[in-house]
Amino acid sequence: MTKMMVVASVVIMSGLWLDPRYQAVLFLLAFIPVYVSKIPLYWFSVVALAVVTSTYPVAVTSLGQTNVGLYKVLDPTWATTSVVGTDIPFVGKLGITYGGLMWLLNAELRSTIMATYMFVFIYTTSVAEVTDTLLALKVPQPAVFVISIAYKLIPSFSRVVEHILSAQRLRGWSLRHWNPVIIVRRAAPLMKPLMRRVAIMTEQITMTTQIRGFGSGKVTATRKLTFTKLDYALMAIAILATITAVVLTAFFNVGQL
Amino acid sequence: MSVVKLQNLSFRYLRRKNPALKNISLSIEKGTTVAIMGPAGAGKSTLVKALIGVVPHIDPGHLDGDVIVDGLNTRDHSVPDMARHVSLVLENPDVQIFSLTVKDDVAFGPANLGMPPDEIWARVAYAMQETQLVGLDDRNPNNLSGGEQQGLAIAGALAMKPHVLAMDEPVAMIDPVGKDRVMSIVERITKGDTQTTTIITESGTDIEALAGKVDQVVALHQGEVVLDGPAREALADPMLEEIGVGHPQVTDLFLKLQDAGVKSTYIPINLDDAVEMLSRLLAEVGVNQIALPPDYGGLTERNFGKPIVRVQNLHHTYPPDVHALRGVDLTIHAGEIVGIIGQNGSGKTTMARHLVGLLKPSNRDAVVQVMGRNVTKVRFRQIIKMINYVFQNPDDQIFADTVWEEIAFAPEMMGFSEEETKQMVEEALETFNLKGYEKRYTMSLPEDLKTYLAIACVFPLKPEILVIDEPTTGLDMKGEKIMMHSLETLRDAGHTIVIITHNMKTVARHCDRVIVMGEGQILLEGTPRELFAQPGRLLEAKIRPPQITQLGQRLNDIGFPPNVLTVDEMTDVVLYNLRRNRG
Repeated sequence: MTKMMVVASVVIMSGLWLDPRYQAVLFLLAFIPVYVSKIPLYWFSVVALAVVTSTYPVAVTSLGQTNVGLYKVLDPTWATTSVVGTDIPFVGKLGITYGGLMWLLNAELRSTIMATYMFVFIYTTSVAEVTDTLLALKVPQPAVFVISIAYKLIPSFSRVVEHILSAQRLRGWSLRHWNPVIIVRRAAPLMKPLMRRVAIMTEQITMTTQIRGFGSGKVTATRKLTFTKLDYALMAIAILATITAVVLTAFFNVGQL
Repeated sequence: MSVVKLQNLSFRYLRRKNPALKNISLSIEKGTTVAIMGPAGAGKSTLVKALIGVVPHIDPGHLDGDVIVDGLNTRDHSVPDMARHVSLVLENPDVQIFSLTVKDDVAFGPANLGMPPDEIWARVAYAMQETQLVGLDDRNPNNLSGGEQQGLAIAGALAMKPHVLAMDEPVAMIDPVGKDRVMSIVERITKGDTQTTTIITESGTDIEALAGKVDQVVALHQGEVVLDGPAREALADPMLEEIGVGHPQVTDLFLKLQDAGVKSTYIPINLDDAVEMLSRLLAEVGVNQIALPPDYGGLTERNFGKPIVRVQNLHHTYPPDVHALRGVDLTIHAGEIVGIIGQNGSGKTTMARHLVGLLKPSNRDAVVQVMGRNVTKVRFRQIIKMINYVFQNPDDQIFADTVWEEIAFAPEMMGFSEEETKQMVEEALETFNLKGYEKRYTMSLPEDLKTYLAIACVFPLKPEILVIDEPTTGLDMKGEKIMMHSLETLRDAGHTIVIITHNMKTVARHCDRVIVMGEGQILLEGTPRELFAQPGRLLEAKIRPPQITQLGQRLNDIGFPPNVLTVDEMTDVVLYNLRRNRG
């Protein structure tokens, strides 16, 4: 329960903030749970994949952003100033703005932070613990079922990504190319086996959970939730931090660009 | 009393043209162990999935006929409802384990059935007792051996107290000692107080592990039952050979002796019976001491080229502190087929991944040299032209629409011209028996062809050394023969082949040299003949020699050699002695 609340708090704060300087604080704090949990580094191949694949669409919408109305904290003139730019006939001026760069950096940091905290949570918490906690929170059974399946899938997913990457590299595959169209085309050897494996894994896990009786009716919680003083303290900090962040962001634009 | 009744069962998966099961009628009695045998794609997995209603409730399709288990028709009951009566254990324990401790995982099923906590823990205790997991209660399942993990999957199923326990190739992915462990669990639960009916599928690779433990054998071929009878008769039936499953090695021996005119009162299906029968046969003609045929073992020694892979003091530690390799020293010579064997988690795959540069050593003074070059300092694109690695699961790499495009991918990525690529693809198709499949949609290929394709995909890079993880897993007897023939052809053409496998029959028949790994170290190495003659030392690495080798060892007191590798060799030894004494 404590881990769930801390992770939820981080996810909410990271989701609220648009300023990479605020995200950087959460990013640095993420090293503590990563170190304590001793999570295998290959799990982060999924983080890397998510960051790399999201860079392109985020960059397209953010880098050249010149809408001054978007910036509430930063000086709009500075934020919409081009770092580099060029005039193209008929198209007009194209460039990369300071605000756009901060937007992009924020998006990448956010993906990394959320994935990191989620992975630490998954690595250190079993399906049974999640189920018991959700049941204690009176979450409806069908929702618990879906969450459990998704939850079991994620660790296997990291391993599959690592396998597929290795298998394709052994055939000379590489994502690196100067032409973005070819880069997109080169994602196929990665994405097709990945999608197929995810479909198979989802099917298998759905099958195995049902074979083990999941979905037959009321589930018995095998453990009672107990809390230590540290748990209470961490939960209180998480709740307080989240409320403070929400209020400061909503009313004082803290963490906004 | 029949606990399982299949009545005219036919099933066709959604969007598939051919039915997976055709008009199957079967009856299985309480407290029996039944083997469902058949080659890859025969319908075995579909059949066991039908027993718990996975087919058609989770895997949709068109089902005709009825599946009645414990008096319940699977049409009328969901999978979770059927789970109170029948349980299913899959080949891969990984997808069946849900918790961070052994006891929590065993409790997962009963908790899902809404049992009171006292009942849950009583069932956990019972299941762990039956599967010999007592004492491992708080261990993380990821740190168990393969045999123990599969034992845990069975414990999870047993905690549901099912009347029927179905298992889909439960020993395929584990080491020989692990296989024995699983089969002894099966024997105990079937013959014990609960009289659980167990149904196990098997494609032939591990037929020896099952042979002495099953009461009834049902053989499937292309979705139809082609054989159904008591194990003693069915396992010696020529039909098993015809459909590509084969016989247990000792059964094969006696069938071959029978063909040569040597009559025995019955055909043994397990090692104990074979020892007894062979002793009797030899005693009847007065053979007290075995003499070896002049050409015994003469054809297996080969001369190899210079060292092509050299590994020294290789350590690897996975975070946080899993010491996967602890100072590996290894030399592989050009032109040999090397088998790497060992218990699950012994470091085989980790070691192989270092050879191709997918992993870096944890210690600075480690040496990993391939063709005289340090792989830690060579660019990856250079390494893969010297040495390449094929993963166990072809689905990890296959992505193109057609077989041709799939094979052409590597040469295209490496910048070869269209003409060169064409030539390379042709050669790969030829070598791996894929001629005629060029335009086939890759995903519609049967599993054996997918395995050949996975290897064919790296072949155009012309690596001198090819490392293949479990090349025969999922293949039936015929598929294994084709695969190993292709690899031998490559070896004869000068390539060096390294295979990682749990299949001791493959190692005995096809490997020139064997490396035994255990706890991150190389425990033994030598020719199969040298290694398999040391059963005591192999057992330390959780390895057992092939059944036919064990037969010779059990009869060592009358002079049988302890290093017989194949059924043909044993047949020659026996016939030579019988004929010698008969004059």
